[in-house]
Amino acid sequence: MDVQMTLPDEKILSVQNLCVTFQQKGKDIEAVRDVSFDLYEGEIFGIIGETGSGKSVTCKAITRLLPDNANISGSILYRDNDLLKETKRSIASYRGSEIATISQDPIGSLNPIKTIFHHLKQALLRTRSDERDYRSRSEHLLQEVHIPSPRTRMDDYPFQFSGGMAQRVQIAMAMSTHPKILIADEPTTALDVTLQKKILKEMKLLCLKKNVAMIFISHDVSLVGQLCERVAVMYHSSIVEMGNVDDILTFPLHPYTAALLAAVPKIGKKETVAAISGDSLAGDVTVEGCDFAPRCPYAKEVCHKEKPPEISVGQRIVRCHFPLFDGVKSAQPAFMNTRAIDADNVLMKASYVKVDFPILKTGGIRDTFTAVNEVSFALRKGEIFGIVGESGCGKSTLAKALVGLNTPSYGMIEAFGQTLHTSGFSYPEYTKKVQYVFQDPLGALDPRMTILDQVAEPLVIHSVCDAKEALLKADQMLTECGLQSSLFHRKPYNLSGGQRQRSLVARALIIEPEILICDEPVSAMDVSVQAQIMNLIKDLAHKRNMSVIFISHDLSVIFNMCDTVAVMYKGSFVERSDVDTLFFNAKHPYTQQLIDSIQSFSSSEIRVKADESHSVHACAFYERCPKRKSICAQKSPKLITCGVSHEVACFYS
Amino acid sequence: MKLPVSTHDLADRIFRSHRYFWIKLVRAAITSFLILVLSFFMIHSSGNPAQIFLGGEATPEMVAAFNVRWGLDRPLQIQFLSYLQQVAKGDLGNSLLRGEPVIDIFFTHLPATLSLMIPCALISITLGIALGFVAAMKKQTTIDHLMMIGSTIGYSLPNFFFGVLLIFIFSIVLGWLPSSGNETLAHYIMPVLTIVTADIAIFTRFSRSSFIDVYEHPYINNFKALGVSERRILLQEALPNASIALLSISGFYVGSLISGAIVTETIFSWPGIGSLLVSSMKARDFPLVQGLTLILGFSIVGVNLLVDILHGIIDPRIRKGGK
Ligand SMILES: Nc1ncnc2c1ncn2[C@@H]1O[C@H](COP(=O)(O)OP(=O)(O)OP(=O)(O)O)[C@@H](O)[C@H]1O
Ligand code: SF4
Ligand code: SF4
Ligand SMILES: [Mg+2]
Repeated sequence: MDVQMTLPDEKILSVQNLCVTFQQKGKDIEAVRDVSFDLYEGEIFGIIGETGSGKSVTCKAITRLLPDNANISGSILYRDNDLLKETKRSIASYRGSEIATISQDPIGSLNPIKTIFHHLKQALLRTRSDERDYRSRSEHLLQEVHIPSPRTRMDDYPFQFSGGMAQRVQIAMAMSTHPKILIADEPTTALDVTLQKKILKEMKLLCLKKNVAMIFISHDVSLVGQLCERVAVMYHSSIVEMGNVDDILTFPLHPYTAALLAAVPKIGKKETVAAISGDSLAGDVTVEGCDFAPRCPYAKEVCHKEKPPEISVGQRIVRCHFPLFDGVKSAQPAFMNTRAIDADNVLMKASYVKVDFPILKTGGIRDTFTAVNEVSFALRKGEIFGIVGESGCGKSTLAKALVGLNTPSYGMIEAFGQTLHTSGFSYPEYTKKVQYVFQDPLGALDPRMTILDQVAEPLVIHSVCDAKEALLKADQMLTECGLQSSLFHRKPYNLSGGQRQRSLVARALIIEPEILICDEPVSAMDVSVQAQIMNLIKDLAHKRNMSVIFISHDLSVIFNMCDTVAVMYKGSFVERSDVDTLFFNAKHPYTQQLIDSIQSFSSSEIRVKADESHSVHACAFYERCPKRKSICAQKSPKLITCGVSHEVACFYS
Repeated sequence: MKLPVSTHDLADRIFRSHRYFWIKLVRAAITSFLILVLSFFMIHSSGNPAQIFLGGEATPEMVAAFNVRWGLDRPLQIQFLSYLQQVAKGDLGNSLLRGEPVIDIFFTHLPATLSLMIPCALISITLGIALGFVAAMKKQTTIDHLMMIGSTIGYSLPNFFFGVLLIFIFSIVLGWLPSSGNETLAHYIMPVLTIVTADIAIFTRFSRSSFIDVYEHPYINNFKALGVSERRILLQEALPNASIALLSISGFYVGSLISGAIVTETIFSWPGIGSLLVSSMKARDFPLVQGLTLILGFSIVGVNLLVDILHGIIDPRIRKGGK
């Protein structure tokens, strides 16, 4: 098994000189420029790059899923058929059955008014199998992606699914058609770390078993490193470096790749991550020389004048005048931040907050599902408080309760002298001080308004200033959030995922709130933008002494951002402490698993949960806990203090 | 063991699970009541009905007799209560001029209006949606631009002008079509044309933008990426989603059809509710005006309630209390 095949696998897809331009209001936006790569049978090929670099557009061009204003040229050979020459009708026969796609936006990719079963059935109808029992086949598909109680859940609607679960449905749909190529556009950004790896591992296994080739788009450099064999790095519409993944990650030749690697947040080092300085160019800007020259620390005169040539070094390709054959310059010293949190000044206090949802069980019995279970915390002025947990654990529900979008069935939320959800509570007053950025950037933006107008809107609503001044401020804020002015007048659908998320951050920050609640604000972004946004939020928190509640499933992001952190599991906080204590001295088995899983890709196999039958009073983590004893099946542990500002809910910690 | 559910609990559950529908029902009930109040006060707001009806030279005795005859001498709240009682019994009073019950007059005129409105509604809705779909699919092409120009002209042409223009050309100059009445099929051509040109235009525009909206959603692309056929995507995904928006406008539209009828029916002397309303207003036949207002008001409330209920049925987010 270890013996490498000497003959190269067969080429299944060959993209040559692909160019994509969007025509918009008479202007041409070059989204993909002269991109060429090959895909071999059964391999996993990664594409990384900043937001807006053209990764998604490249992949959409393959199955011609781009809107009509896109002009595609070049050639895309699939088993010697040029997909760009196929008719509109015949290209559809390749989709799904030959080349399947999993896209970026989990919730938006499902029809909001149709059940999950409907979606799976549409996929199964494409398989032309004789098996007519769609329900049991759908159940099987959902089981494969680990949706609990699939038989009943498949009659639910997308809005009843968490982002992660919706993405798993999408994966199930794509897998069901037995494709030869799987294009996965950031398929797991919405999933928590443990599940992410589980799914990716399964996807990898499937690809190996069925000889399916995968194009894996991600901004998570470490994931690409672990999953892919070869990788292409894209910058401003073109591939700047391509080759074997290990070579590229250990020994980057292009200055941009080097900068990208330096921007990956590292565990345990609480420092401002090295964001790549400067902005990436807007899609409609073309420069004479190298696209990276304005940001490149190695740029010389020639870089600004001439396009760099494509240099091949063995299997590797790099597009640069001065590839880094001598290694990377030492990174600039990171700016350490130490600051005091005002311990006595509590801005927001949540006491025993519980949120229930009505659910319909089989047989029409109504019941409630407790999404958030008696959660308490105090947020102090200037504090960045992180909440981490896997998808569906109730993070977003809690966040929504904190901004007044969910009504707790029990408990109390107090902030700025007001108690939420009581009579006297003034919502406009509250939103002026508490702003939020949510997970799904598309859902949160109005598709009909330009982003500039949307960012200016809160200023006008809260009558902070007049419309004209608001637009000026919005302009500044968007710039501060790293968007180019040429994008300001676009509508959300014409932006990439990361660009949309930046607009949302801008909209939340524009009225200078005292508390910012961020629900997975960076999960849709690539590392360098992640770093920029994280630094931006951190900087603003420092400058304005703003408090932040930062929700993420990514523990490494939390470690980089936050002062204090709570770990959430199935609706409850299972551990809470300051970041350093948590990192070096995690007590709860779940926290330990989370930390383990970031540090190594394949360790800590998680016990598959199967039975849902044991006592409802058991510890919530019982099914997956390696340390469990019999008492854990009968009683649920409460959060108790176990050190200076350290609390944990486990009998055996 | 579960305890048996008390009836109070049960009521509470039913209310919770059908909260949306209950809210809509309560709103419809409140609106209906307001319509009742309004129609009642309509007579009183326009000054002294006796004076208006009998004219300036009526003697005080005549006015007093009139008031006794119509119960206008009683205190206002008593009048209102007895009005409610009557309405509840389905009695909307008698026309001043004709002496017949308002209800009967309404029903003799209803068929004429329905026979005009139903075909108009069917034509405008189906053709409008179909054209809107075509325009959406051909968005930003010459076909789309031409269709949009056409629809702008269509809906900015006032009905009274277009109707009169048609009469002038086809009845007066060419003498092909009858200009008034509803006896033969030929009588229908011009009124239908008048109503339908404006309404198709509105529907085309509206459904175009709803389809464009729906087709921009990522789930449409997701189904395309699976290789699901365009037709299937239209029927299974796009149409149900677009119909949510289209339903609301259809509700509005059916409401506006009734008022639209007034102009068209008057131009073509169509013996329907619209002409009836105009003639009864001219004659100051206030029980008739009052009765008609009430019926039309109720029917608009009814249509809107129906739309809301359908809305809840189509959209699971509403039905199941999602966001
Ligand atoms: N329909 C469209 N019309 C005009 N411009 C578009 C359209 N779709 C994408 N673009 C532009 O094309 C460029 C590339 O977008 P793309 O979605 O491929 O980025 P990406 O690399 O996938 O980024 P992300 O990591 O944020 O998903 C961006 O500048 C984007 O604004
Ligand atoms: S060509 Fe010049 S500017 Fe561009 S990446 Fe290479 S060194 Fe930097
Ligand atoms: S209480 Fe028991 S089951 Fe729960 S986390 Fe601790 S050891 Fe595991
Ligand atoms: Mg993308």
